[in-house]
Amino acid sequence: MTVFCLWCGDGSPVLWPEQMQGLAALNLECSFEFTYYPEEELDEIVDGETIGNLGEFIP
Amino acid sequence: MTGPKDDRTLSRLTPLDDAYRSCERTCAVLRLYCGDMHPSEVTKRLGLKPTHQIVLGEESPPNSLGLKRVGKVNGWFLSSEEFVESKDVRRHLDWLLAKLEPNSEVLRELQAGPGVRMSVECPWWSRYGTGGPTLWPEQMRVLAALNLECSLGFAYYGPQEPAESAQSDLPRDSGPS
Repeated sequence: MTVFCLWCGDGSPVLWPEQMQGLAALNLECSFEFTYYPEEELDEIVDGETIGNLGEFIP
Repeated sequence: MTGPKDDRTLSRLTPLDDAYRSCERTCAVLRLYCGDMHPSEVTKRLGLKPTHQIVLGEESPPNSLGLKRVGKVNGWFLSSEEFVESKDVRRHLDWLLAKLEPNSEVLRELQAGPGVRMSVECPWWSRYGTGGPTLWPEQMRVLAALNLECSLGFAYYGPQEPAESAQSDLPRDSGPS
């Protein structure tokens, strides 16, 4: 099992000690999936128009 | 810190993988902005040499482009990049945390100091525009115990090799964001 975090675009998600402490106590790994989209495509995804094209995020 | 498989790791989906094919480049960096304190004081108290530092008001040595800059903050940085050959960020975090964990009390004292801010940053450059790192409980437990946040800086530079300008992103030293 894994905790899966999707992140679209550039930038930096941050985990605080409080979240990491909880994940560690549950013996859960935390996995990030980074997907880069050109800006115009990202706008459509945010609008929900092409959300179905994201596909399956299965490792 | 991240040892061979045992009962605790059997349920995990993402085994350690030094090749980590979706990753172009990664490392783990402690970014410690030390307020009015000179970075040499951090070196003394931690008993560790930084891989990079900036001093308020002092001119830095020229970078790869021959450019110098004057420090706007006091900063002390310790990066795994030159010491760990792996595309798996867990290996880099293990190296960094092994340096920091014996100094947990000093880190706590520093965190209580005026104007001190610190973070562990893991730049993660994607090879294909997808993929991502995984943290295991072993790394997260130590980060939490040290009261350190962990940020993952994703970037994708396209099919070309990362440009010279991108090199200067590691580590960032423009000050706390």
